[in-house]
Amino acid sequence: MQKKNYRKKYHSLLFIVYYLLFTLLNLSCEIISGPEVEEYEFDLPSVHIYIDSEDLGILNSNVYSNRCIPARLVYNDHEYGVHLRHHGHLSRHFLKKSYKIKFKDTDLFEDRKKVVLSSQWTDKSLLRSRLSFYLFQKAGLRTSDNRFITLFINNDYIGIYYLIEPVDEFFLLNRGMEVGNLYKSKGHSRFTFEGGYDVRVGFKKKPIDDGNYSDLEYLINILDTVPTDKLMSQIEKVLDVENYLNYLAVSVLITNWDGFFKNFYLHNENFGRFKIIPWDLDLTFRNSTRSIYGQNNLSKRLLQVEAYRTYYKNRLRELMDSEFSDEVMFPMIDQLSNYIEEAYENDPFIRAKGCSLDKEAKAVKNFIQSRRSYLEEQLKDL
Amino acid sequence: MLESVYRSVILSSLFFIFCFIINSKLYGQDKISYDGYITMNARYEYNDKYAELFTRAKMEIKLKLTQYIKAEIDIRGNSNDPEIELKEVHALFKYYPNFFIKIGNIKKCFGIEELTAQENLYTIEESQINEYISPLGYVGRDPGVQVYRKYKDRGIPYSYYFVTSFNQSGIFTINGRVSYHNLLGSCCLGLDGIYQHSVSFAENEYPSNSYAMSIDLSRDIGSFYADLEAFLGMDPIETQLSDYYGDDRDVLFLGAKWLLAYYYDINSTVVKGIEPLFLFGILSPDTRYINANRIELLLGINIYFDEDMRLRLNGDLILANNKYNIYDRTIAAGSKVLLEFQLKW
Repeated sequence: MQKKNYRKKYHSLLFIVYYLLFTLLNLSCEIISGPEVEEYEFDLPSVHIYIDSEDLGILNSNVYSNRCIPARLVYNDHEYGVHLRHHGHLSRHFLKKSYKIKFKDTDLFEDRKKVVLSSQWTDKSLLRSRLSFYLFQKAGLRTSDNRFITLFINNDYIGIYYLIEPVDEFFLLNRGMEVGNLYKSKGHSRFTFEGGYDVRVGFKKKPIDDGNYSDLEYLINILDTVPTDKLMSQIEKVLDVENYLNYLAVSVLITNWDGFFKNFYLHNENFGRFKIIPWDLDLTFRNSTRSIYGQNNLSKRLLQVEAYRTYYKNRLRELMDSEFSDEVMFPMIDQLSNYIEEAYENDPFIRAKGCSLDKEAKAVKNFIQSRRSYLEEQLKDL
Repeated sequence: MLESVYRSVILSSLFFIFCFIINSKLYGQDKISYDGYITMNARYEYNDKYAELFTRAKMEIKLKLTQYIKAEIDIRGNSNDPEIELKEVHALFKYYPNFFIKIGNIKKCFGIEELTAQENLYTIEESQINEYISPLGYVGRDPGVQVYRKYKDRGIPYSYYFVTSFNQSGIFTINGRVSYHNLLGSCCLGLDGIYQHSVSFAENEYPSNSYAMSIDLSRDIGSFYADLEAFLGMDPIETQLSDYYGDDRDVLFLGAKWLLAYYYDINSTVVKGIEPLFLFGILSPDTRYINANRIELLLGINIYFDEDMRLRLNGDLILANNKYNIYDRTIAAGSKVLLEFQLKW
């Protein structure tokens, strides 16, 4: 009897402790997240992320982990409950990190489940991806929506970032396409079986990897086995050649050498023809003496066909005369530089690096001029 | 601020009521049991840039409602995934000893690995064959009904499982397994079959019928464990593609695996035993091109600190060629090194 009374007593005490603890926990959460104070106001849209300090510590000290941290994200006066994690592969080594944000199914971000906040750390100008996306789009390729934003974490200004739409099922569905088979090129992505090759090593099927890569293997086998005189009739059944040649033309213009063995997506909608979608374009607009032929076996085989070579040559010429000209590119560079200047100069990481936007923008302009003159010479022999 | 205080008080009150109900139930209910595990993992996959570190946990709650009725809930989480998954929910009716009935979101019974809880597998992850057949729908969980008898060292030495399930892709599945446990004194022979019928009328769906079967022989006596398993079945995805490419035929896959493990009793203060293991597997995704296949070689060691606590290391090498180039075999995707610390209860 005595024992039972003690048990009841402690039982009730336990509830009181629960109650007090939970109330305190709730209140402390409210106090921690607290009122939002903006120290900086830029022309760019801002993304405010609020993370519990312990979770922020976990995020900062686990750079190579894909662990998702709960957070709140405020954009355009709308608050989202999100999870975020570090983004990228090699970019995780960099001082200024990139993040992948995952939204709740019930509260999507502009009809997207995920977005990437990319620091573009390898691009001191922060203009290269923007210009590259623009050129790919003008050449008729589907590209991710991207915009400049300023990022604040717990009200601290982290810097200027790209907000980029990832290539996933939402990317396709939002553009009225069927998901079909989407392959992400993740490095060592080859278009030949010569010497032995498992496509699963170089490509990753998304959004669900069912292990079946047959359509991609079929495409590679055509490239490996069909002689040049018959290639046109075979390859056009499985590849949107025009789309790829446009990709090749822009990649060659902007020296997107990081986009031949990785950093692209192949999309096969409903057992149709593969289309290529560019991705990760920060390593462009550098080294103006890269080959006019591009790289990889797909480019090589297609350019062996006279009709494709002519089309490619014409597209290069058209783009050089229009979008890739000083008249189009330079005002765009100036306009973008003005737009991001203030946020750029206040970016703590960029300041620490000692970069100058004027100097970097000039380097991009110089590249455009020297690349065009180099290609002019190369076009004669193509 | 005032609004926050109100919200906190309301939330706390709700939590208080919840705790009261749960605690009352727990105090009054002696027939609840918990199973589960926690793991800490490191994983490096071939061609990845860095190793992944993560933790996983499973909590399985079993409630004995009456002498004959049980309910089970299996919840799992992974530190890399923000969502906790309700993996399995079922009710179990044990009215007759040879005829148990399970209703809920239940596992199909196809192959030894699928019959074994993940935490009890000898290897940290499933073999390449199991990973290959998973997306084909032959393993995994669907809402359905299972009747079974599981042999537990008493009575006639046989087990059987029969499952019918239906999922939201419109696929109706019939799956069965029969096993005899006293072959040559210590071996178990099992035969499994599964048949899937799609009742979906959407275009470009998988073929309306697909099937697979497997046979296995295992020995689990004392310190030595060995199993040999062979699979043959139709690949519904590849069959659909073959149809698209004008090669109208059923694409069949064929696979086999052989697992050996031996437990050495050490019984020191810290380490109780070590268990080296070896797995060999071969998978041909299309029997028409039998020379195009994926070979799996896995070497591993399990170090036991307790019966339910072990450190595990697996090196898994997959060498593959394909039907377009059968001569050059290379290291394939899925090759990996895994490390896991596991604690079960």
